[in-house]
Amino acid sequence: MARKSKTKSPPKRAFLEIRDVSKKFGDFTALTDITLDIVEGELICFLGPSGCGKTTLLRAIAGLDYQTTGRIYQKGRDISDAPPADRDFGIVFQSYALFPNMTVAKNIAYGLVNRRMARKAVADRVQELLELVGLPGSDDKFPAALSGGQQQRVALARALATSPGMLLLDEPLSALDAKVREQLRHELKDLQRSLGITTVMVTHDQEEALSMADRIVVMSDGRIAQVGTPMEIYRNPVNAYVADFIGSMNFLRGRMGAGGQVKVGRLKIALPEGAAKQFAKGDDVVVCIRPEDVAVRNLERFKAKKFTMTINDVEFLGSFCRVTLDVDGDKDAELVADFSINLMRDFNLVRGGKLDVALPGRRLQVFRDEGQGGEES
Amino acid sequence: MSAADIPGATGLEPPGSPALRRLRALKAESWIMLAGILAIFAALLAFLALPLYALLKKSVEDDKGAFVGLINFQEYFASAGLVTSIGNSLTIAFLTMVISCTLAFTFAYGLTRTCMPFKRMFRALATIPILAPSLLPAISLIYLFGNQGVIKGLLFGESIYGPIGIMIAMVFYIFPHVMMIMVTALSTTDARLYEAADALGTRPMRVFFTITIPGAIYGIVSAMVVAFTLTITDFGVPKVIGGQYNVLATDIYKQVVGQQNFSMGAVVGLVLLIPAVFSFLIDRHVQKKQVALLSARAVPFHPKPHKMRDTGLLIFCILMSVFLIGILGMAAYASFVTFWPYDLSLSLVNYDFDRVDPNGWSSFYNSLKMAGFTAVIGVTIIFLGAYMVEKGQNFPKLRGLFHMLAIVPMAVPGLVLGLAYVFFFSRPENPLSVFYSTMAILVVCTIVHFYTVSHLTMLTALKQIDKEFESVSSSLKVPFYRTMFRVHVPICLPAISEVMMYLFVNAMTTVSAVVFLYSPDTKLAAITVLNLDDVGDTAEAAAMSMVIVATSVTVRVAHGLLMRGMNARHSAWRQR
Ligand SMILES: Nc1ncnc2c1ncn2[C@@H]1O[C@H](COP(=O)(O)OP(=O)(O)O)[C@@H](O)[C@H]1O
Ligand SMILES: [Mg+2]
Repeated sequence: MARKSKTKSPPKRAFLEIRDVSKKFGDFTALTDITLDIVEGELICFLGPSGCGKTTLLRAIAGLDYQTTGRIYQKGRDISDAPPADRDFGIVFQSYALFPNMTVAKNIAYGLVNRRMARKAVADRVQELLELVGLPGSDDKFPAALSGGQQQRVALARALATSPGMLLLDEPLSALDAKVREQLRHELKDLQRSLGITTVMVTHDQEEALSMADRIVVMSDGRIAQVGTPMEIYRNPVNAYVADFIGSMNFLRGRMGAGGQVKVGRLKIALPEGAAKQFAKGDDVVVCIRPEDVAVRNLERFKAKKFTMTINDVEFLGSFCRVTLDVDGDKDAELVADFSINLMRDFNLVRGGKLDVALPGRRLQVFRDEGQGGEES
Repeated sequence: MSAADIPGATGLEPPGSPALRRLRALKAESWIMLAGILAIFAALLAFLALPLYALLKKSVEDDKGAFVGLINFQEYFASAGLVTSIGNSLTIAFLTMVISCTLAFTFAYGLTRTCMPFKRMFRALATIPILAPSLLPAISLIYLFGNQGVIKGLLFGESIYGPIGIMIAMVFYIFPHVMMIMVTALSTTDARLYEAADALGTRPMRVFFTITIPGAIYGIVSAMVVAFTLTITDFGVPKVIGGQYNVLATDIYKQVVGQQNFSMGAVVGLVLLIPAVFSFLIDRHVQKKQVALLSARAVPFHPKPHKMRDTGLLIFCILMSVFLIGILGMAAYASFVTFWPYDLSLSLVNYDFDRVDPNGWSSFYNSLKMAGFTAVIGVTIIFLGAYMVEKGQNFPKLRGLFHMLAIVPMAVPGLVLGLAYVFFFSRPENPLSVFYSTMAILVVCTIVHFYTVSHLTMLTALKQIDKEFESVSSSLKVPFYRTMFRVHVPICLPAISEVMMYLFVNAMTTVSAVVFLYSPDTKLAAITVLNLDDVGDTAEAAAMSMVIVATSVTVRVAHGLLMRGMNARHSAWRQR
């Protein structure tokens, strides 16, 4: 599952190679020097906030909008200047883009009919695809009679009908209700795995990316911020931007003090040795820790210092509680922690109460502080 | 892995420009697209841009074609009679604008902001004038207030031949255009503004001036501009009822048809182009702002009953309808009267056009033919043009340029366009001169004349279609034209039918553009109305107008039935 493209480069060429691709709209640069390999059979997600260039990159891969500079190779063939019809992909959009005046069967068969297949063969293929996406018997319905989730399945079947070598999905689930979205996530992933089709999916939803992708490409302002498996990106974000974008994260802004310690407000946080070495005394840094990594039980285990904190707020979120803590009214060192209901009960945590916590060194991420809001490019 | 690790993938640009490489890689379908754009673009150039240039050129030449600089303009502004026309035109246009906008606003207010009954009926009634040539209200007024008019006394001795007649007829003729803009303007409002004002106890008058008017202001300005332009550029009304009162539009006709003074005609044409272009620019500007206002709209407004207001506006709408029906009814009645005012028995004698005009009924058949060709050929070209502008994948600059050219006809009055055609196509050295005095030139001129509105209607319909259809289509390796025929055309059928109706009705009723271009063999019904009136056969002119109205009504009804049938047949997928 965890493919590392950075370390073991196989001698054979990747399925899709993107080399120094840039895209300009007039004076505006939408993509800057994107270089990326996509491995055959994987599901790779382009993840980033709206407007960061995900769709632009996808459309360059499809040939729907050409890149301004840079090359793209599919299976070693230079497709950089080829029109979409000369490339080999199926595409699905957020808007489904089903032809409203055609039945489901006609929609799915749209790309087949053009290939001079026998009528019987087309009908069989349509049935096969309807089964595949879980909509048998919907042949004669019009898209307007289907729910959003069903429409997106039809769109998927249409894209897969011609057995393309690659599937491109642009926010395929974003227009759907939360419930349907979650269900389709699984179905889509299962389908992709069983067909083994190389798939690029664009999304701004980090949860979606984390749960579906084999690898994630985090993008920011037209550049790639990080490429890696969901676990790598969640556990080892390369900068504060990625750390902020993926999952919840505490950002504690402080200054390097003596002995590998960071001073955050009145707190002194000891950094693990490796991290401490990267910074000199007096550097502005951000110390990051995920809410679920704030430790309460068995504090003796950690070499890290204990801090006594006040519980400012408790937010009940169903299976766990989100607790806001601070050190004696010190707003600079406010900390959000996720605690299980079990833990809440055991420690009898209520608003205004006190609590000892530790910030385990190996769970800390430390970055140079380069401005507000965890922004960094 | 870096690019260097991989055999073959150098990431280097191959030599040559990417644009050229992509051009070479294009499929046949893209070439078809390019050929299509270029063809329509060339057609608009040949039938719009070049004639206008010929007009411009003519204005600085003498009648033999030698360059004389601005002498024609000097001569024009030295002639007191011609300059008076400018004043007259501006006065008439201004007053008509004020009157028609006031009436139309009140009418539209009744339709949108009250709980009065029969709103749909009033709305349908108010669009009647569109179905008639502008000559009809003028003829009707002659029967009502002319020398032998039925209610002549109402004018207290004033003559209907002149500014009063022009203004009343113009108000009738432009009412539907202005009213529809006002209805749109008053429909796009946010109910919450009124609720907030209500909650603060604001007096109705204040609400009207601080919320209603500002909310509709762009529409009002747009309506004023349209009223002004339509009035100043219309030719039929002042021709029939203007008497000795000269305006710019009749001056052009007199200079060109009467005195064969083409250079002076060109100068007057350019003078007429100024207010038209000016209002066009204002309208474009205002409409952009209107769109912004519209997108911010949230809660639709539902009027609450208010007895006094509802009754007052109901009475107003009834009076307005009486005016509109009265004008049409008078013309209809007069057309059946055997010999006005001496023999008031009803007969069809006035419909025997061939008795008074050798091209009588044949001109009507010409009109049908011309309108039919205009509708069918026009809608095809306009659809393809709009499709390429909106859905084309390559050649963005060319498509943008084409769109700009497609907007231009709106700023060109029919008279000016017709005149430009005369200058351009009558020159024997022009290879296109074979068109001159054929049915084809009438069709082409009419399509160009009404291009913009049709183009914009089609564009709006196409914009509502998912913009990813082209992407899906090319990913499935289906050429664009196949998807266009199988998807876009069926979805756009309502708009296609509407544009066809619009083109047909306008082709039936238009006078201004074609008045310079017809030949005896291609004379049109609306021109026959003009000629009949010119020689004093007013009853026959009224009768021919009624034939035109009846044809337009038939087409409109057919369109309605077609739409209903289509909605029923496609109910499975067509919304609404
Ligand atoms: N056709 C275009 N013309 C100009 N700017 C564009 C065009 N398409 C996209 N952009 C700009 O490029 C940036 C990236 O767009 P996009 O790739 O659609 O973002 P995303 O899909 O990540 O939300 C945005 O700032 C957008 O405004
Ligand atoms: Mg996008």
